[in-house]
Amino acid sequence: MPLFRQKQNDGVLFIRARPKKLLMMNDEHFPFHIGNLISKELAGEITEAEQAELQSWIAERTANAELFDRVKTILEEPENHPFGEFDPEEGWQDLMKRSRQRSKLRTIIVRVAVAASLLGAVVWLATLQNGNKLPQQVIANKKRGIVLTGPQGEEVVINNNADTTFRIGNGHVNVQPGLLSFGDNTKDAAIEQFTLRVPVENRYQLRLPDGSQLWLNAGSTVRFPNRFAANERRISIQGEAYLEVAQESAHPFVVETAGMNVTVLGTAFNIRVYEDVNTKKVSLLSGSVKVSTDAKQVMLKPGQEVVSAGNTLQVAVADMEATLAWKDGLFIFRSESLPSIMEDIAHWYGVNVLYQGQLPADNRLSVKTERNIPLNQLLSMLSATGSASFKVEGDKVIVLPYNGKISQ
Amino acid sequence: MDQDTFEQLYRKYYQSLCFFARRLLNDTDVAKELVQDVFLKSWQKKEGLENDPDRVRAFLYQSVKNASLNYLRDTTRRNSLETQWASTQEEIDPDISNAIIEAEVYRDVLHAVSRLPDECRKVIELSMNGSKTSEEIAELLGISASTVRNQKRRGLQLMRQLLNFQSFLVFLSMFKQHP
Repeated sequence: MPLFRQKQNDGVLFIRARPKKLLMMNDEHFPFHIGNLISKELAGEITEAEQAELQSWIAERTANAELFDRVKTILEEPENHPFGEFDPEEGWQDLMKRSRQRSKLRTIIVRVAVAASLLGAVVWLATLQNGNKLPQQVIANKKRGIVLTGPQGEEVVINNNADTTFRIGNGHVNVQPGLLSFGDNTKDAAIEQFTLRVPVENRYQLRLPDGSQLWLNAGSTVRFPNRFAANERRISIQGEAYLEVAQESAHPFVVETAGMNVTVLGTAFNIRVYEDVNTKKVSLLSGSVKVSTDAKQVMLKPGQEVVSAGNTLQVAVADMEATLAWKDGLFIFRSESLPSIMEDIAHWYGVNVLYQGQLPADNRLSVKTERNIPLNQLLSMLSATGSASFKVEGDKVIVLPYNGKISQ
Repeated sequence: MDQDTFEQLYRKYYQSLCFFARRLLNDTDVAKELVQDVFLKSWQKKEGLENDPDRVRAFLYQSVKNASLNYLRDTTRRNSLETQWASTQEEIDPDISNAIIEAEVYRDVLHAVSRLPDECRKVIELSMNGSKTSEEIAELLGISASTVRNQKRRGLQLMRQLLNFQSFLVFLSMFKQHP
């Protein structure tokens, strides 16, 4: 763990971890070093030695002094610095489009693995029968990457960056970086069931035969056919997924989960139904969905979510940005309880969370970070809020009352 | 490097590389185009995308610089800088070095902006991107000009704090639960 520097400021805590480096003038990293010094100067956080270094650079050339004069007022007069007109979102979409057009990588690994699929079946059954089986399921997933399973149990390990097409059973698969499109292999082929499973610390997108889009979060599985039946579209989900369902009012779209169904007529929503958690959640972005258990049913309006525990259904206002953060590779928690944060951590990293001792009951945390942060770093940051301390033992994370240690 | 990591890398450097390229080329559209090319090529050939973030950054700027110089050479536009740069491509030209420095400072600032609370961020972004006055922003957002000025002041203060920690991964705050 690198060293941490913390600063307490109006209840807001900032943390950083970066080793300092000394650089020579002719090093290719030199401009980055000077840029860093200027940023520090702007922030008012520059040390005396760094200040001296910066001043000598400024004195070196007129152009340097001019550059410094130009940027030093950013924080006083941002309007005089129009440098934010490049939109990274727009750029990224454009890049993805180009990459699909040009890429000819064929890096998919196809294998029919009898032994592995048997193991998968055993693990899968165990998960169904026994409530809290996340660790085993996760260990299996960790080894296997994104796996598409066909009707005969044949397995295809999907490389996330692949760009190719292939057949599996009666299905036709087109794989592009980050996206798998599924359709019929031949017209009027018999309906078969397929399974797509995403391992921990990953997410993936699936385009269903009707054009509906589905994003699967880590440790999640979706079961779907190569072609939908004539009267309705039906899939089943375990874990967390975000769906944008193609509008076909004549063919209702039904998402099955254990104990709860969601019926859809053209809509975008997030569903969270991990098997190790008692509560299931459906959050609606647009359109309308009907959520039903054996005992009850509700219609959701956009911006609402419904939480189901047992047979009860409770409707509340949804925080869509936080709910869908996983789709963009982020963790966003807004005023969340520690257990609920730990639940997300368990699913993403594939760990089992245990609690030891009494934790403060009224603690609410807000966190925003990239999901690719290592587990122990995230835990260190959580413990730096003084809410709890953590101990990692293999696949277990033990939550302890805060003991003053940032990490262990 | 997987696609997620690459996407993060892209989002981290896209704006500053565009800014850098535009400084060299004086053309916004060409700058964007060249930056996209550099990303696309390195992604498809898996070149230069190593695990060391400092080396990746140096590689990206170096690639954009080379692409820009090649572009200038291939087009009929001649300017005095070109000959100067051509002779010093292997060393670090002070003008290019300065363009990198400026782009990097702006990158830090934009990163700080992206971490602002939503209300502040909108106000700051609008004043930076479109050079809009507080009154124009107020009208655009449907709030009062004094609220805009407050948000802006608060945002700039927060940015100073956020700039302290350019490499920080997490912005944490603690709340007591509301009754």
